[in-house]
Amino acid sequence: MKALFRLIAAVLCTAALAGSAFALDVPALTGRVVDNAKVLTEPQRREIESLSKAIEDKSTAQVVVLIVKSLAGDTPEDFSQRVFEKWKPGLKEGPNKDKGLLIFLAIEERKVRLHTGYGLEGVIPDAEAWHIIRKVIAPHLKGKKGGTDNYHVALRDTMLHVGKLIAGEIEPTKSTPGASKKDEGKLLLFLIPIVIAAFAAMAHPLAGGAVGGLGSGIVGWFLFGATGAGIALAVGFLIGLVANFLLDLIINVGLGGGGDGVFGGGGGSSGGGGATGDF
Amino acid sequence: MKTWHWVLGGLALVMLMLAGGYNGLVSKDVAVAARLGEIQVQEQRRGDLVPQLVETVRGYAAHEKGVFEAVTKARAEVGKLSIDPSKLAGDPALMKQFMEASQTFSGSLSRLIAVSEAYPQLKANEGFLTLQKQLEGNENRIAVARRNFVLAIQDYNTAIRGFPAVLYAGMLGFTKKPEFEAPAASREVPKVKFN
Repeated sequence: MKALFRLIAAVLCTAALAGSAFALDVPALTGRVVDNAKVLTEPQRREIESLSKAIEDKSTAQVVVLIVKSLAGDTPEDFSQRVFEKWKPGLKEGPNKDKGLLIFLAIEERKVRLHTGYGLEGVIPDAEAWHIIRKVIAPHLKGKKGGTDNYHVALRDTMLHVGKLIAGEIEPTKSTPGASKKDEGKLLLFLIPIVIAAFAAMAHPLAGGAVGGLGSGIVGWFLFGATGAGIALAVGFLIGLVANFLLDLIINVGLGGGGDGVFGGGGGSSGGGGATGDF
Repeated sequence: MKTWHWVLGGLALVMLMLAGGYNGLVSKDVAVAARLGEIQVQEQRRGDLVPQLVETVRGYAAHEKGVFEAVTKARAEVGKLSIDPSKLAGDPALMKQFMEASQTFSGSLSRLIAVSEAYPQLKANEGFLTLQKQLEGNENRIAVARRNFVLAIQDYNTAIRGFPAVLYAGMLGFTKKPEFEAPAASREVPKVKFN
């Protein structure tokens, strides 16, 4: 069972590493509010996270916050898009899909951007995003004009405001996403023969292939009938051949970094909507 | 087990792989058209937004005729080329023309915004600021859509040249598509400050 979890973790890690060839690396999604500039105290951060969670519980919309020290020459638009593509706030499918919002702050450049997913473009059009930046966020960030920056209040008010906007338009329907998740759960069954194959492959790669192929074939038959079984058999065989190597890799990579690990993006996507402003 | 069992099994495996490869090519081909469609949707939005913006700026800077004309002309050009995305995706020359027109449109719009910077009263106009922000968001959407389109084409072109697709892609009508670079100018989104 532990091996299974490790396998899942390793797959996630690899996926995360694959998309990090850009100038400024997208930070890991360690929670709903990722404060890499340390402008919030821990209780403040948690309070904003709980506001975000309340929005999600009510509407399935995922609002995430990223605060960085510096953009390192990147533009807020480009960087936000990359973060969005990796974090994927919002559901992937169903009538509520792509309802994700990224609130992004770069402290050194004094830039703030609200980056909307496709599903929130209707509730938070660009003009509204800009309105929020100007009327809700910027008034609390007066450090440049000799005042103090109150990131906590700025973000809290933004969450409350955004929550109201989202609640005003969305009727939460939770049936469809649940159904699709069930299917994904079934696919995890394929991990069982692969893990067994990994142990068999320690004896001989062909043994791994045989076990992987046979096991996957049986699972495939069970889930999708004869055609699925054929494909699963072939794929399972090939994976089984290299399963031992995969297992080594997994053990070496180990489990990914901590965080509370409870929160993950739902798979939403964005076409680059939103607005950027200075503060 | 007899030899022909192995031969049959091997053939079945090869067929499966070919079928999988073919399906992959089809979906990549469709993805290119879909990405192009996204650009067109954003162009449509932008086309709807611009007349209002031009009118607002004209109210304060009537004599900047050259800029207005350039914007209007570029908008018409893009509108003329906005046809069915699948047709556009199938015609490399037309596609190139469309991308260039879209680029010219972006350029003329940033000039319009640059000109308006010189008019303090215009910059204080709430309606103008809102329009400008909408345009800014739209320019970013177009930039994202263009980038996704460029990536989809690269993905497709790589797939048809890979093995074993390279053996049958040409035969089945999967030809190389023109590649575009995500133009640097499209990133120069007009900016406004509010202090």
